[in-house]
Amino acid sequence: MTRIANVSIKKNANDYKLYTLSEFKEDFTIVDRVQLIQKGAIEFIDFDGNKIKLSEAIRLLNQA
Amino acid sequence: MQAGFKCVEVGMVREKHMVSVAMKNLIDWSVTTIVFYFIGYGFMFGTGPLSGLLGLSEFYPELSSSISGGLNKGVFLLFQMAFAGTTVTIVSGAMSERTGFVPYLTASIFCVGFIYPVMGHWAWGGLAGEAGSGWLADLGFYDFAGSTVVHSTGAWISLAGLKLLGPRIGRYDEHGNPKPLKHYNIAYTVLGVLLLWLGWWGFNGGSMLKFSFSVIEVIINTNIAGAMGCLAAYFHCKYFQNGEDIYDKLIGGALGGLVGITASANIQSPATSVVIGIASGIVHNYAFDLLSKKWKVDDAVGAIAVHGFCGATGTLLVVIAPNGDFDILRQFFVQLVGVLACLVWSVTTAWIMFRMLRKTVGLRVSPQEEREGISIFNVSESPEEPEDEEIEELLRQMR
Repeated sequence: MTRIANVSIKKNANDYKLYTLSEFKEDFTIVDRVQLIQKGAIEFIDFDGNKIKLSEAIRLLNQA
Repeated sequence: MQAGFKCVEVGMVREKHMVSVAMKNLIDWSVTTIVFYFIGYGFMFGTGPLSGLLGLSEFYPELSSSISGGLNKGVFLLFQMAFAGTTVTIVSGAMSERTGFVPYLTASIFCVGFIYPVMGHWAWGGLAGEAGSGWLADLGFYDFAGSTVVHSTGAWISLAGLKLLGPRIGRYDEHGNPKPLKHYNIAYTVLGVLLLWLGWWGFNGGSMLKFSFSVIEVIINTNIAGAMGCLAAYFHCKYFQNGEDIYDKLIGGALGGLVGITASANIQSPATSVVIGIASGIVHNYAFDLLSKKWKVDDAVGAIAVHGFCGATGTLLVVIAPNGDFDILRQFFVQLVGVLACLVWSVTTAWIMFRMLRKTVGLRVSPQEEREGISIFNVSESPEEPEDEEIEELLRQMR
């Protein structure tokens, strides 16, 4: 079963920051999350380091 | 030493990152050669109104002259350049697999041009005889060949960088436990350790700044501590830590022993070198677990445990030297001051430097680049663009 391990946020043109799922939930409101997705500045990653499709990640976030 | 570090680091990282790590090692040495000659040497060995805290002369030094003791300044510069290169290389290994090439290059310039030389000035500024000694040397701080000045400085810079950078993707499982990431080639790393070991003969032996029988004693003490560090780390890991990460600990223990003895290889005896080696090996193992499991600091090559913790251990254990001419309690306090000064200076300045780099050229590569291997051209792609239905899904969540 796929689970979200990390969320990578693009901070600026050259920099990315890696959050754990719990840090991400704490630091970003639902409004922030929408904005990040709209900007294409977010990537969800599973425990094997693989990218999770956005639609799948949203479903997982909903379940969590 | 640079060849040794390159082999150690390339062997420890994952295969897809070996090229970028090797390139960073090459860049380290190139940056060191230029920046230390034109800038770093002056901050470290110059004089001026801030002498004791910071040198402000001897930039681009005149090489045909001599330092105190009659040694040619060019020879002294080359020797010190190798130390500076070591400090920077420690940082490249620890932060590998996720740091961008441009930010790393920029950080190297600042480390070798300012952070390391200032720390060096405090402890070794008087070595060239251009001016009075640094404030730590005036206190009586003893660091023969750089357990603290060289090794811990690099480690603490790495620590600050790693706290800002975060772990590699896939390093921790859902319970926060570290997951082993496959090393490219441990045998290659062992070759690097042996190359470093040989390089240490030159570092510690050469720190006598002359050739006499005492150089041989220094090299023998260095060997003994490295060997005991290796054996102590191995047996400690096997019998007290269930053999977890035993390859990393065996390798780190050997290097830890070499780092530990570096502070006082010229005043220890073979017997006290054994003590320093054992202490360094055991401290290394605990530090390795503390960093990766408790502090969640993902050091790709275990550099902080080796260079930071074993460097501090060796610097404090200077006081057991049978040939030391000092009051043990007072000297221990002075050594502690030196260790803490190095920690505070390196972490603070590196923290500021890495924060500035993050704001300007960026620090961490994209997840895609991290998965595929870092490119020295820093070509990274944005995460995928969202589809409309995904945004609608999020909007539904908000209602």
